[in-house]
Amino acid sequence: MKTKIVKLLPAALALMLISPAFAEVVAGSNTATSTQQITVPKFINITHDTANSVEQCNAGFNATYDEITLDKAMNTKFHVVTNNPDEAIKLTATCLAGGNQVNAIYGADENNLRLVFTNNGTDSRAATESAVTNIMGTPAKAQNANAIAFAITAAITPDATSGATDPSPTKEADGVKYTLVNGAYDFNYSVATTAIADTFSTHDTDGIYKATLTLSQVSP
Amino acid sequence: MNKTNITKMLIFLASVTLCTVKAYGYAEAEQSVSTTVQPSVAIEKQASSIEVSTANAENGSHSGLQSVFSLKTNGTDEDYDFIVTSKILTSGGEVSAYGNNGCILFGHTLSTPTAEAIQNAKTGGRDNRNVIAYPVTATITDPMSVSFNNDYGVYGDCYVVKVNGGTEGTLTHIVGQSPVSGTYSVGQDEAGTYQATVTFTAVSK
Repeated sequence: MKTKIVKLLPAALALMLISPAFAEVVAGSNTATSTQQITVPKFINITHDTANSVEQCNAGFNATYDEITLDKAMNTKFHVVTNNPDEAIKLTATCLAGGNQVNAIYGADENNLRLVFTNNGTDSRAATESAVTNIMGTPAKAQNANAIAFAITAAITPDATSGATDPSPTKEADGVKYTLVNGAYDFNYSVATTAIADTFSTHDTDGIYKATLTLSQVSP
Repeated sequence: MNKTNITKMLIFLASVTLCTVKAYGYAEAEQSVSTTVQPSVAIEKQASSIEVSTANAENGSHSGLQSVFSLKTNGTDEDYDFIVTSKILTSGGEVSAYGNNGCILFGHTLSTPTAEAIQNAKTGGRDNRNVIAYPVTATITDPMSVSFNNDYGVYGDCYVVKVNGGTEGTLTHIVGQSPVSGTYSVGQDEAGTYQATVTFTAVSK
């Protein structure tokens, strides 16, 4: 027995010398990986490009005051940037009628849009809600006093370098909804310089006629 | 042989036997044991690593990321290549995430970027959909050193660590907070999660 112990001593001594110093090293791995992640949240920015919009003009008339012609081609331009590939925005419009802001956009489809402008005056110069409703149905000059409708044309320009593509429009009762992919876009709405038939007459008093266009984010 | 001689002989034999045992034990104690300690290494990711952050979607800046690794070894630079590599997932598979201008690329995990977009971002271009590049730095505790190398042998673009005789060190791989100009665009870079992986490896030579 003594002989065996004596034989084992050198090996034990060697193990003692080796093990403590590098015990952790031997147990370790020769590689480690770190996975790094950055979350980019959804983003959309819709701005009114005032520098490239014409939003005031003067009107001229024929001798019988049944034709109106604007002296400038008005337009409203919006710029949209989004990083959401499943984005949606909507064009709406309002005008003052009966003391309230009411829907001012109508039309058969997204390619045949009409915009109602109403006199922002008071009393006999104010438009009623029924006047706006009349224009949106079958207009009759005597039934749409102080309200005038003009055609508007949308021109949408996706910035191809941004990855934007042509949006998909859908006409809704109170505007047009667009579904977008991520990218940058210009939305330009031009107003015709002559009125829609039977929406302008001597029933339309002098004053400032106004409509407000809004482009806003909506649920896809 | 008389009785006295026999007795003397027995005493002598007994002494020889004892001496033999003693002599045998002494010889074993002097036996030399030769043990070669092989080089070994341990690399671990540390809890101080910051691996998740949120970006400002308007400008792409984020709250900060870092990968921290500990290194322990009894080996030398002649025993190992100590290498830090990175990967980004593209539509065609994984490629190195290190750019040519001291940056690391992060790619959208679902809408994976194309190889062309990766290459564009690596060279500081602006046509790099779903790729964002951030500046990157790496440091390590003395006496170890770390430096970036383009196309370093079989490892490609990587950081190379030299232990310089050291046995323990901490490597910190820091991702800058602001994107490299031209590599982040709200329109081009979709919302979502962007990812890169960083790996510290000791390769036995």
